Amino acid sequence: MNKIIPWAVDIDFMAQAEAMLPLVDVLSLDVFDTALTRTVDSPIDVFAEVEKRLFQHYGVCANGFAEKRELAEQKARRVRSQQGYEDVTLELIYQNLDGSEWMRTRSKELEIQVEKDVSVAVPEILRLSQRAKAVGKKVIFVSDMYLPQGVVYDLLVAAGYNTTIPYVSSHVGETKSKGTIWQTVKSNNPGTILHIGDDEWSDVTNPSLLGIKTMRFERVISNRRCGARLTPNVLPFSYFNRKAELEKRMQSPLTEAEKWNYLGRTFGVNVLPPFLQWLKERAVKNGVKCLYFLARDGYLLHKAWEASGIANDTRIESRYLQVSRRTINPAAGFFESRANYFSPHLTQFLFGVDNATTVRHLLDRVSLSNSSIEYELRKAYGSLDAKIAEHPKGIDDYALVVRRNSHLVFNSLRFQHRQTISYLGQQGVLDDTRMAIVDTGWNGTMQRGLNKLRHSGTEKLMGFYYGLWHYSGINRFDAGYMESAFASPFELPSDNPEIALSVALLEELHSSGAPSVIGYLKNSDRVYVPQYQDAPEEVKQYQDKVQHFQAGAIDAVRTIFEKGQYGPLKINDLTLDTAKAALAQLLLSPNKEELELLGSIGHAFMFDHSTFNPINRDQPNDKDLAGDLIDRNDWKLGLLRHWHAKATNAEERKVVRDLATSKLDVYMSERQLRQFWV
Amino acid sequence: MRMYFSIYPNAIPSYSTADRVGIIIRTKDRPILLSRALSSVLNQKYKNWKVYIVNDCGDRAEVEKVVDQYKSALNYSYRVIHRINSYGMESASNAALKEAEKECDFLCIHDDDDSWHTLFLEECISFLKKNTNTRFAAVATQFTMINEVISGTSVYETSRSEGFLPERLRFSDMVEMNRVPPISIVFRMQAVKAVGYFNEFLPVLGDWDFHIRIFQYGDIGVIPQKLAYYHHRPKTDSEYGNTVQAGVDKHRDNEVLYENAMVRALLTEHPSYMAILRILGKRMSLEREESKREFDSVMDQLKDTNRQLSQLEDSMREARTMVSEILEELYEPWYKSIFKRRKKCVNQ
Repeated sequence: MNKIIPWAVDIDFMAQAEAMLPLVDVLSLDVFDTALTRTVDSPIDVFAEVEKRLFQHYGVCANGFAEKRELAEQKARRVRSQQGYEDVTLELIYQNLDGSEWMRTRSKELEIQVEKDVSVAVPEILRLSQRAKAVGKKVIFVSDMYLPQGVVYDLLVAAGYNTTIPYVSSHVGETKSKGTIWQTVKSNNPGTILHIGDDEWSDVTNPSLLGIKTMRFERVISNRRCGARLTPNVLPFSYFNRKAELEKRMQSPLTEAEKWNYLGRTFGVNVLPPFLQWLKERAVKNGVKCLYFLARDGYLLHKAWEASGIANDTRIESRYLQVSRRTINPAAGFFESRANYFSPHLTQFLFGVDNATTVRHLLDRVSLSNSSIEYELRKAYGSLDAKIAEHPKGIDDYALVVRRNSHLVFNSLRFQHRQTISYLGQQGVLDDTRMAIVDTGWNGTMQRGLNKLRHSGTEKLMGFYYGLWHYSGINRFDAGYMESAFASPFELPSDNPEIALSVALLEELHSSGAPSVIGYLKNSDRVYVPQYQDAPEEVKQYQDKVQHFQAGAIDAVRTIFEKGQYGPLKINDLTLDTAKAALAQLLLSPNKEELELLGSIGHAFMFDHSTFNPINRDQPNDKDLAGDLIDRNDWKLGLLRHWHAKATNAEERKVVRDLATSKLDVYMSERQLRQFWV
Repeated sequence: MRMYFSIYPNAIPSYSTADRVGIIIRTKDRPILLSRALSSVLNQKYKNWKVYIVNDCGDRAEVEKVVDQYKSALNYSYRVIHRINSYGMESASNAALKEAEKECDFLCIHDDDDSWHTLFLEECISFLKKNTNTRFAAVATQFTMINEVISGTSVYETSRSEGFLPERLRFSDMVEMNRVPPISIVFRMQAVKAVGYFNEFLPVLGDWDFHIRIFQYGDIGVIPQKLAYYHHRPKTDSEYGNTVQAGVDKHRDNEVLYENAMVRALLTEHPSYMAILRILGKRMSLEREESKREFDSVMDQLKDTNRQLSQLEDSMREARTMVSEILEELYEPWYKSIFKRRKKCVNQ
C-alpha cells in the first residue's frame, strides 16, 4: 500500500507545473520535503525515534544515542570536508559514532527502518510524476542525502513512485548545494529539464545557473528545531506538530485566530495533560481538599483542569481565586507592619519601580490617589505622572513623603486588608482544611502572602507550580510547602532555559481576559466582587490572540482526556519530560509562523502594569542600545530571532549572532544557538 | 618466606544490590534551614530514599511543625529522632545511622543548612551502580559555595563561588585535609558498615575522619558536575551560623589534635617510623631554608635592578633638563635670525 499524506492537493501548483510539462523533456524532482516528507517535525527527530526503539530492545545502553548520532554526522562532515569531499555517507557517519561495533550495526539498520516508517509521499509530486510518465517524459530524482542510493530508491518505491535509480549525493560524490551534481544530471539527461524542490539555493539558484528550469515547492518543508535536547522526549511534540502543520497547509490561508488556535492545540496537548496529571497526583498524595487556581496565570490551568475531568474520581474541589499582588501584598504587609514600621516585604511592594513607574502608579498601590499626600508629591516631583526612574530625586523623596504620612498609608492598608480578607473568607481560603494554590509560579510571593493572611492556627496552604526560581527560597519558610513541575529552585536558569527565557509568554498565554484585580467591593447582594485595573491593551490582546490560543488548548485537553488519544498522541506517551521538550522546541526554536505569533504578544512586567511592552521591537543601530533592549525584553530568544529574520545580509546576521551569543550563552547551549547560524 | 605482596588493586569491591538512600539531616533550632533542607530532598529526581531527621536537643515543637508541613510530600518515608541530650554532630549522625544501616544501601549526610541540585542523587547512585565502578566506596560531586544572610524568616544569598574538588581524589590529599564537604558525597552502606560509625570523640572534623576511613576501604570517585550547594553564613553568631565559619579556632585546635593522634597511632604501631618522620621533616625544613635563601637572593637581585632602574631614570631626567636648557639658549638667536633671513629673502 502506498504511503501518502491525506490532504487536498494544491491546485494552483499543479496547474502551473502541468503547464510546464509539455515544454520540457525531463522532470527532475528533489526527494526529501518534495517527493517525500517525514512525519516528524524536524528531520533529526528520526534519531530520537531510533533511540526510542533501541531502548525498547536493549535498555539503558541506548540512552544518549540520538545526540551521539548527531555529533557523529557533524564529525564525519568535518573530516570529509577536510578531505575535499562534498558529502558524507551513512557508513562514514556510523564509523564516527561512539559505541560498540554491534550497536553501530544495529542502530544503522534501525535508522534505515525508521526512515522507511516515517517517510510518506507528497500527493502533488506523486501525481505530477505520474502525469509526466503518462505523457512520455523522463522522471528523475535528485537528492542531497547521506543515505545509500538503494535506500532512497526503496523509500521512493515504497511511497508509490515508479522511478529509475535516483541521483544521491552520497553515491555520486557531488551535491545540489555546491551545484556540482547538475552537470552530471544534464549530461546524463539530454534535453530540457524542469527541476522541482524545496530549497531556494540547492533546488532553484544552482540548477538555474546551468539553464535548468526550476519551480520551488515549499508546502511540505520541515522545521529545523534545536530547542530541546535530542532525546525520545521530543517525539510526542514532533509527531503531533508535524501532523498539525501539514493539516494547516492543506487549508486555505488561515486567519490569525485560526493560527492561534492551532498553536494552542499543540501547546495544550503536549504541555497541559502531563502537568494536570502531576498536579492531581500531588494533590491526592498530599490530601488536598481544594485547589485554588490563582488569577491571572492560573486561568488556563483551571479551565484545563475542569475540561479534563481529571478530578472526577476524587473529592478535590477546584476554584479560580481572583487575587493579585496588588491585593495580597498590601493586605499581608498590613498584617506584618505597624504604623511606624513597614516590613521588608511591604517596603519592597511600596517602593519597587521599573523604568516606566510613575508617582501615580505608586500611589495607586496603596489607594492614595486623591489624598492629601498628593500635594506633597506634586511639589516634590512636579507631576504625578513623573517617571520615578528618570527623575533626579528617584524613589527617595517618595519614600520620605510616604514615611512621613505612614499613618495615612497604614490606614489605607487596613482598608485593603479588610476587603481582601473578606473576599478570601468568602472564597473559603481562610477555612481550616488542607488546600493548595496552583499558578505558573516563580517566587512563591503570593503563597507567602496568603499564608500570612490565614489564621495562625491553620495548616499552611501548599503551592503547585510550573516553575520556581532560586529566589523563592526567600519566601520558603513563610510560604510553606511548594513544589514545581518544570523548574526547581534548586536548579540553575541554564537547566531550564525554556522556562527561564519565556516567563512573559507563559504568563500571557495562561492569563484570563480580565485585567489584574486591584481590590474588592461588596455588591448589592453583599457579595465581595473583584475590581479590575483599566488595561485596554491587555484586554484587546486577549480578545485578538490569547482567547483563540486557549480555546485550542482546552479543546485539545478535553479530547485527549476523553478519548485517551489526540491525533498521533496517546495520553500515556506524555510525561513532564516530554512537556518540557515541547516547551523547549516551541519557545527556544520557534518556526517562522510561531515566531511571528508569539512575538506579537505584549507583556506588563510590573504588577501595576505601568508598561505593556511588545516583544518584537525594531533593532537599534547602536550595539549597546540593542543589548539594553534585549536585557529588558521578556522573550530574548524571540526578539533576537526576529532581528535575525529581518537581517538582509551576512554582516547584519553576524551582528545578531554575536548579540545572541553574548546574551543567551548563559542559558543556552552551543547546539541551541546554532539557529543563529542559518 | 613471602618476598612481595600485591599492592594494586586493594580497594575492596563494593556492590549495591538495592537502591535505597538513607539521608541523615542533623538539625538544632534552625527551622528556616530545615525547611530548605527538606525541600532540597523532595526536589530530587531520584525518589528512592528515606530521611532521618535528627533533632539534636533542639526545640521539639519547632521541628515537628516544619516536618508536619512536609510529611505528606515525604510520603511518610522519614523518621524523626529527638535527642534529649546533645553529644555533638557525630553522635547525632550515629543515632540515625544505626537505623539507616538496616534499611538503606547508600548513605548521605545532608546538613540542615546545605542543599542539592535536583540531579545529585540520580547522578551519584547511577555512578555507584555502574559495574565498572565497584572499587568506589563513595562518590562526590563538584560543588558551589553560597554565602547567605538570614533576616527575619528569609534567607538571602549574598554571593556564590565555585568550590573545587580535584578531578581525581587521592588518599594522600584527603589525609592532608578534608577535600569534600559532607553535602557533596554519597557512601555505599557496605563501606560504611565496614569502617564503623562516625567518631563521636570529635566535636568537629568528624566528616574528615570518616572520609579517611572510607578511603581505607575503597576509592572516592568524583562527578564533574556541580550538584551540591555548600551554604555559609559568615556573619552569623546565632544558631544559624556554620560550624566551619562560626568555629574557625575550634577547627584549628582540633585539626592539630587530630594530626597528633595520627602520628601517635603510627608511632605506637611502628616506633621505627619515627626515623622516617624525622628524616622527612629535616629534609623538608632544609629544602624550605634552601628555597628561602634562593628567594631572598632573587629578591636582592630585584632590589638591585630596581635601584639601577631608578638611577637610570634620574640620569635620563638630568639629560632631558640639559637638552632643554641648551635648546632654550639656542632658541632666542634662532628666533631672531628668522626675521633677518626673511629680510634677506625680500631684498634678494
